[in-house]
Parts: sequence; C-alpha cells; structure tokens
Amino acid sequence: MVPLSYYLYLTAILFAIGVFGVLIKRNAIIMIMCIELMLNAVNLAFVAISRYLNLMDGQIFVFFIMTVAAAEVAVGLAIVVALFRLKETEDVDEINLMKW
Amino acid sequence: MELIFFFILAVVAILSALLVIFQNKPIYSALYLVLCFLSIAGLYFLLHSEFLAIMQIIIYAGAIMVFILFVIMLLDLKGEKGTKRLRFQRLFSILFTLLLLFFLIGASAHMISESKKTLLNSEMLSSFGGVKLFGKLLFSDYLLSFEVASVLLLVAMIGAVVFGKKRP
Repeated sequence: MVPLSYYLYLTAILFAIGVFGVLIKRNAIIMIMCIELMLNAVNLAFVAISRYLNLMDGQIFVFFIMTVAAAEVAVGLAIVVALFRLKETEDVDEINLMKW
Repeated sequence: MELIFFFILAVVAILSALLVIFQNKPIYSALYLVLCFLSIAGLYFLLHSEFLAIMQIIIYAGAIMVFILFVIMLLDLKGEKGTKRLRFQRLFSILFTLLLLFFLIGASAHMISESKKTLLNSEMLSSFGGVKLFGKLLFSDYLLSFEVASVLLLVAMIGAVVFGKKRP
C-alpha cells in the first residue's frame, strides 16, 4: 500500500503548479484551466485521506466539488466569451474596465 | 507493484501539469490538462475509489474539457503575447509558489505524524469506494446537499445562458 504521505506530497506539488499558473499566465482560459488543476489536487487529497481513514464522507465531498467545478467552468467560460465579444481579447491585463 | 503504478501516474500527472503552464497555445494546454486528469483518475483507481475515477473521466476529462476546447475553437485565440507584464511578476510568482509549496509539504508532514495510528490495513476496506455504499450515504446523510447541488447546477445553466445571450 502506498503511504499517505506520497499522496499528500503529490497533492501539494499539483496545487502549487496550479497557483503558479494562475500567477504567471495572462490568458483567461488558461487561468480557468489552472483553477481546475487546483480543484483536482484538493480532490485527490480528499480521496486519499478518506481512503486511509476508511470513511466514505470524503468521497461525497469530492462529488460535490466536481458539481461546483462544472458550474464554475460553465459560468466562467460564459464570462470569457462575453468579454471576448466586448473587447476582442482574452488577456486579463487588457480587461480593466472597472479598474479606474 | 502498487508503488510502481503510483510513481508512473504521479510523474505523468506532474509533467503534464507543468506542460499545461509552459505551453504557449491554449489548445495544447487543454490537451495536456486532459492527460493530467486521466492520470489523476488512475490514482483514484489505485485508491479503490472506482466510482469517483469513472466520474473523473466522464465529468472532468470528458464534459468540462470538451467545453473548454469548444470555447477555444470558437474564440480564435492568438496565444500569449508576453508583453505588458507587471514588473518582477515572474520572480514574485516563483518565490510565492516555492513558499506555498514549503508550507503545504510541512503541513502534510505534520498531519501524517499526528494521524499515524488511525491508518487501517487493507483487508478491512473491501466494501470501500463502491457505488452501493456511495449511493446509500448520498441519499441518506447528504440528501439536502444533493438537492442544493441540483439547484446550483440549474442556476449555473441559467447564468451561462444569460451571459451568452446577445445584448439587445
């Protein structure tokens, strides 16, 4: 059986990669993809810990996180499409309508 | 044996996650993200969570990524230009990420040393992760959350339609 610590280290690395992508990328769609990556890292931590504690509740949480992620992607991509229609760009640095 | 599979899947997941970031065109990022999701589904199989593994493949690698690929196809993106960055953005991103990684790994090491005695051996886990137990739990203890999730999906659908409509 693989030790729990390996799963948690993998989770930490995947989450950090997602955060790095959000920080360094300026493309809105790639930023949404990096958010999905972070959600998946958290899901993996939930599943690993629920497996090692022999509790199914963590898996239910993962199920609901998947639901929320689907809703989030639907609304987020609709916002990106609407912004692209308005400004002809997907670069988040150029979307500064409400900044000043 | 299990350890070998774990290392293969973990290396594929980390490499494809890195490639998501270091690709210039969004379409390649999306395809590498599909690979990353598939290897995470393989890790769910290793953890005896078959139902969630199949859900991962259907929802994440199937529905969500097809949706993202559709939007990339519709929008005619031109890839990152890399001009107009904030000053020192790359440096601060690397520093912040390393700090976060340090804290996360430290926290997980701390948690493991505290919960060592609750780990169980694998013979007791025969019914774990099956659809039957999952459904029983979902429709008894978590019934209210299940209904609220359906309302959330309805609201997200309406919101996407409203955003996608042409302005009058």
